[in-house]
Amino acid sequence: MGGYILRRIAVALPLLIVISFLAFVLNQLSPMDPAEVVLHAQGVPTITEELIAETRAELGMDRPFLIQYFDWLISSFQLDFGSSYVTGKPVWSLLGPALLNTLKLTLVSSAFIILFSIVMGVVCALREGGWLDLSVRGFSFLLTSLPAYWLAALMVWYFSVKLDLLPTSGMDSISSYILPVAVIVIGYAGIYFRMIRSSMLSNLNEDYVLYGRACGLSETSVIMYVLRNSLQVAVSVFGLAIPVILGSTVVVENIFAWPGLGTLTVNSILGRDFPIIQAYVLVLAAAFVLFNTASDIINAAFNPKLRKEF
Amino acid sequence: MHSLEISRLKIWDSRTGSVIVPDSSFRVEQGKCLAIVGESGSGKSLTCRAIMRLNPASLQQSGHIELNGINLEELSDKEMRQFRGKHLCMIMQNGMRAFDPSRPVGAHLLKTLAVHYPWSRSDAIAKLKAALASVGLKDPDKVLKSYPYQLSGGMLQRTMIALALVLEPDVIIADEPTTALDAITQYEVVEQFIALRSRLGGMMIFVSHDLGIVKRIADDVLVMKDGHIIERGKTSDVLAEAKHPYTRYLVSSKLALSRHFTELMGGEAVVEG
Ligand SMILES: Nc1ncnc2c1ncn2[C@@H]1O[C@H](COP(=O)(O)OP(=O)(O)OP(=O)(O)O)[C@@H](O)[C@H]1O
Ligand SMILES: [Mg+2]
Repeated sequence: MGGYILRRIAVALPLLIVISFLAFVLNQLSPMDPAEVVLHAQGVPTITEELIAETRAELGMDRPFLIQYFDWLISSFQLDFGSSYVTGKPVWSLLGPALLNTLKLTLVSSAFIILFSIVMGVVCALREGGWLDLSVRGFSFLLTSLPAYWLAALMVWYFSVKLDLLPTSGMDSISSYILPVAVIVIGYAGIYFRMIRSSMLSNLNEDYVLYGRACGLSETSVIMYVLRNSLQVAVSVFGLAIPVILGSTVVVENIFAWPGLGTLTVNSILGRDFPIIQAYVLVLAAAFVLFNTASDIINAAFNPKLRKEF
Repeated sequence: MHSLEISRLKIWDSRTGSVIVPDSSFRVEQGKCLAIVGESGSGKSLTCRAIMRLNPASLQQSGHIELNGINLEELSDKEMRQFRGKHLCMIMQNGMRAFDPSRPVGAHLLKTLAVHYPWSRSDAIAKLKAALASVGLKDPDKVLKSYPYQLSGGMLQRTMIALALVLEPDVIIADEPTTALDAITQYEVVEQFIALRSRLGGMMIFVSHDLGIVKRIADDVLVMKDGHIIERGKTSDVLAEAKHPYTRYLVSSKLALSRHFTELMGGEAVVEG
């Protein structure tokens, strides 16, 4: 098992390096000269060629490309992503708190998504074709197909404006979580519930279920067999789902003015604030790789066959 | 008194109303082995599972299934569960898929024994090891600790036979237990079935496509086609002078196949017709 974990991490690291390189290159390809962005942000009235050259030197952009990249990469490992072009503040001092806020929203939402999808997926699979199964499936299909911004607007109008129960925006108290979390959970629970349900159903049709019953095991024991095997799928699914949710909070954060990564990034993209965008891509990629690796390791702990295959 | 008697068994799909097995009656005596043969989809597996009351809920059944004077249809779900394994034991077609893939084989075996017998864990392990060794598995300790994917199909088949040996059921139902194996392993596993029969002396239902195996193991044969029993009788009689054209077709295609096989192997009769 220890060997498996090491091998898995050995694969994850190069992947991160490649992604970081892509993030760096993509921003270099942007038609806007970063030096110009900085000068605009500082409110310099007339931008001359010399001024641009001077600023580029200040930013270290006159150095060879690869040197710039490695310099950035090594600093990144120490959470030093440079300074914002627009505000001049260190990127991490903006990104860190925003990441924390987004993580809070993501983890609370993910916890509910995992809880709902597992409970509903298991219950519906055990009652396949019954009225509960049919109605949960129909209802979740309806909810999943609603666009997040529309649903958010509707909920704000009803719960915050009409009933005046919940705050419309911000992140001041526990009640601030309710609407954003509800919008995210409604958007995703339906998808993941379906995966759990079909994984349960395919396991219920396996021979080992029939043999377990034929041996006289109680229904509870047989269901435990099925759960253990189905939840392995769930671990992989959620390992990928959490970073997806992390990346997709952009819409919800902007609607509810949640002071998180999504809001920060949208503003940075509009202001061409490259260091923040690069850092955002890197952090998100790291989250993907991290959760994916973690879910593989958890699965390998469940299922020794996977340890050998890798 | 000691017999398994199925009368007027009917199995139908409650969703479509289509009848799959319209009206089957047969009987297995103590110490006898009944083979069920027939083409794919003729209802052999559904009949076996009907006896164990293990068909999916969408399939309904009616009729009389009586084991040693007890009507299985009248048992409560809980009583029926206690019957399964202890009195009616099933051996599956594909050993590779018959065990929970994420637990060692021994976990399932011990759990099954714990349901039916009040033995201590170490007693149960000792009995299992003896049984595993007696079916020709050289390292019983290792088998108990292995995950299904670490064992071969033949080893898992023997493991199910060993479990049956420990459970000592009245009836063993084996649904094509050798189909998924290669020819040599098949031969060895059939030997184990013959040994299992003589050691337990109970009843056996043996589903197979292979008339060669049927001839070796079964006293009586049922031939099924489209849910109907179209022929029955002593194995030697049915194979020698089949009355129904379909059975004659089965026997002749079997003969043709073994002749073909003999030619391939270069002359000598390897498989008997
Ligand atoms: N759960 C089910 N619901 C409805 N019909 C079924 C179900 N399971 C099997 N059947 C149908 O019942 C018929 C008999 O199936 P069964 O599995 O008993 O055949 P079999 O004789 O065992 O065939 P094989 O030799 O391929 O194992 C088939 O036509 C099959 O399509
Ligand atoms: Mg079958």
